[in-house]
Amino acid sequence: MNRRLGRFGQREMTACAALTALNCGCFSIDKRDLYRGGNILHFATLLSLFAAFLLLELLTHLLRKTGAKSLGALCRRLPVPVRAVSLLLWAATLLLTVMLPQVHFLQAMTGLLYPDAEPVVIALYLLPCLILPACLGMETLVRTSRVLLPVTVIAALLTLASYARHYRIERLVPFFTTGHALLGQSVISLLRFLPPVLILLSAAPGGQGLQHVRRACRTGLWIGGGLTVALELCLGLTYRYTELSEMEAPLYRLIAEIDTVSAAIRLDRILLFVWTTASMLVCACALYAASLLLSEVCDVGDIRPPAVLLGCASVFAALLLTHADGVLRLLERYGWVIAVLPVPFCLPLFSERRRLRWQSGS
Amino acid sequence: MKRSLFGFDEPYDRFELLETETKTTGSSSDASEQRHAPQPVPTRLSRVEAALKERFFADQNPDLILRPFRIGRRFDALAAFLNGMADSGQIDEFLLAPAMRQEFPKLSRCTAKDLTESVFTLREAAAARTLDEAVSAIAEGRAAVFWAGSDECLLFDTRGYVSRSVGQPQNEPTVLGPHEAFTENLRTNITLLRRILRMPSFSAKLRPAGGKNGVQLALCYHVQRVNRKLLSEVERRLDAIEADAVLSIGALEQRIEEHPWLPLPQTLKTERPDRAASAVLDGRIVLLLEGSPIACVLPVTIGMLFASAEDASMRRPVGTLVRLVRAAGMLLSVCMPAYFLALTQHHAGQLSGEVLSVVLSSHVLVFLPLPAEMIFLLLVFQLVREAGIRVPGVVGHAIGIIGGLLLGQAAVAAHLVSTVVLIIVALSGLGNFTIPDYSTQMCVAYYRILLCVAATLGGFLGIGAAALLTLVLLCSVKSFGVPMLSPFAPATRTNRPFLVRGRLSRSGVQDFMNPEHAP
Repeated sequence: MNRRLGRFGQREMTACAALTALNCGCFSIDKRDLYRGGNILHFATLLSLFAAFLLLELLTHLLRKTGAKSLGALCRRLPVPVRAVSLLLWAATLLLTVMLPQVHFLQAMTGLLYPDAEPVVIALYLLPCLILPACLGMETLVRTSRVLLPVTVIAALLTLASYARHYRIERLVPFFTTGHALLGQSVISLLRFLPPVLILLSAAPGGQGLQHVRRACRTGLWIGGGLTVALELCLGLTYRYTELSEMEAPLYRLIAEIDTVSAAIRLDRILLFVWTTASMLVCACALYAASLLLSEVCDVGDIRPPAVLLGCASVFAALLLTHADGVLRLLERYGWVIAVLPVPFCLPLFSERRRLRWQSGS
Repeated sequence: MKRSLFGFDEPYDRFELLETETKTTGSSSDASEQRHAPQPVPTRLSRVEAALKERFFADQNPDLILRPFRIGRRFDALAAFLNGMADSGQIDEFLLAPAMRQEFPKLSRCTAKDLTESVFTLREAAAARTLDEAVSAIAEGRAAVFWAGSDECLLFDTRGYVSRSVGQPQNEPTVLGPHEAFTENLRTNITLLRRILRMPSFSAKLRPAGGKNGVQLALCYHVQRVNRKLLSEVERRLDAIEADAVLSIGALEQRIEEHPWLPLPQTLKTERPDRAASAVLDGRIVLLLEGSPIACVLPVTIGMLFASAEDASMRRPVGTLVRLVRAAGMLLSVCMPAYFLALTQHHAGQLSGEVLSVVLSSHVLVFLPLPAEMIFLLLVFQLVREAGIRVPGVVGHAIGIIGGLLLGQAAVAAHLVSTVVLIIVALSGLGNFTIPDYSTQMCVAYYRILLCVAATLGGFLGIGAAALLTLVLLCSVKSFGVPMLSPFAPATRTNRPFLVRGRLSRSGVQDFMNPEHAP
């Protein structure tokens, strides 16, 4: 097997969970619709966090009861219809975690930094940043998270602090305009913090015991979730809910408007750079978890073919969501290249299946 | 590399010191292949002579001296040694003279034990039963004594070749630390280490380096502090070396490290005995190669590559400050050219009017585009540096000054480069020199050019992508089973943080070395 799980400790897992929670909390959903109901998102985030804790307890209980070591193994032990549904749900959540920050990233890049650039070109920079870390495995990913978490937390605190003088408490009012808005917001954003749980539980065998994974996940959720609530509150204090309901990526916008700028060092750019780097790493973590799940369920011994395939597919989907015209133009021009590109990576998948079939036959 | 990149479904059996407590290390069966059956020492001296002449190609090699003599006027014997490698004075005085003296003790028989106890007066003597042992000992500079009717021979340590005396370190000078450096003589180097580590638990295990040139290698370690798995893994990798010649420690390092294609060094090369001794006390292994004045320390971490031998000699606050300055210098060296290019090429609108006007006014007459100018100057900087290193002594310093001052001045006057870019490259170069390890300096110097290309192509996006990929690679690299970013990622208990200089009282084996015994 070459699934590149490796072995990692509790502090690395905590960092991974916190970073994922922070990024998923900030970038996983388009919040424009949610702000239409009032300035309540920071409160709804707490509910999402609570939901994530509940789910973590439920899944760890299930893993302990069935004796499965990871989500993939648990999936195999479930009855077929439940297996199919749960697999579909988990895989979809993970793939959305890979894709949605990319959507925000592409929007922010084309909107704020590179207004004249082709989104496809920007996506080309994304691709290696997603695929290479995912191919290097979970051990590398959690270690990189451990390095990036302190930097991201400092970036978050700087973001909060640098806009402090513009905060107005009256902007938080109204909390919610209609009663069903609160419910709608909560339900939609309820699963925002699910990815850190899924990622860590998928890679649980590398984490030296389920108990350690659970503890790391909880601490990470507290750190990441807490920072997300603070950032949402900061956004609510900075903009009115009517403005927020029309912004594409409010956090990027907030960072871009930071006015503590010296002649040569642009704090806003550095913060943006930190946020996007952390975001890419989280996407890679989710990509790895999705690939692991796929490889476990399909009996593929190597993580790289599914990682390459899912990585390409997610970037393609993010491009389609943000700049469909450009993608269609690209397909017209270079469609054959895009069609041929994944073939070398698909071949090992088929050969692997054949080898397994041959082994079981003999 | 090809195998690790494109090989599918291969077992994850790379050596890991920290993680694989229960796993066995990589297989060593293929490495320790048996070559040929050892040839016993012939009992007839004529056969010994013929065999030695054949092995040493005596018809073409006049250095082999075969001196027949008689022990106590009774037993025919033959002394074999290499001219120039063995000390002829020692051979005359302690081997030949005692055997041929008039008042000879009466020996009923002639065995190795009798000869070492009653005849030969040299301190180090060992018996050997195979001709191969005798041949490799002679090649090292020892003298072999064969006598008629015996299937064993005696090997005496008569090595006496010329070597350089202990000098000052050329590449790692310090103000407060000791001023001694390793030499090309293995025995001297071990002695230099032993002078610092006067403890019975310090071991210097001699073994062949692996090349066909038969050079010796010393594996130096602290018996109680070294991890046995690490030691056996290093020996396994050394066993697996199949080379015509191992000529330098750098070549040896590349043959045993995990990622020889990575520019970042995975071992520390030092010419300072104090630094090597400190590494031994930390539970690390130091490799000393005959003919190489550099010691190779393994495993290493990033923190170790950026630490200087002098840090421990300074007071803690000063040491910490110096380390912070060094880190800032390194950051400056890596980021500054790329950051400048990203700002000017892709995000010019983000710069204030004053800065932008200064940049534009200095660049207006320069015909090269800004990125090409930057990369050109960085390469010229490397050129001047390489020339300064290769040119001997005082001329080398002069080249540095000429390159730095005259060339720079002339280039600005001729509008080949702009002053702003020149200043940035100079600052970046200065920052690079704060990195204590030479191999790391080189790695950073070329990495910043790569980062400049990324910044030119994609601005901050390019820098971000390159930085993330570099960080991920750094997190995945291990030096002999120890992650390079230890003790930070993975987080382990440490008494020596990366930036802050740790307390001297807390030195000892680090947690990530996975020590078997508490120091």
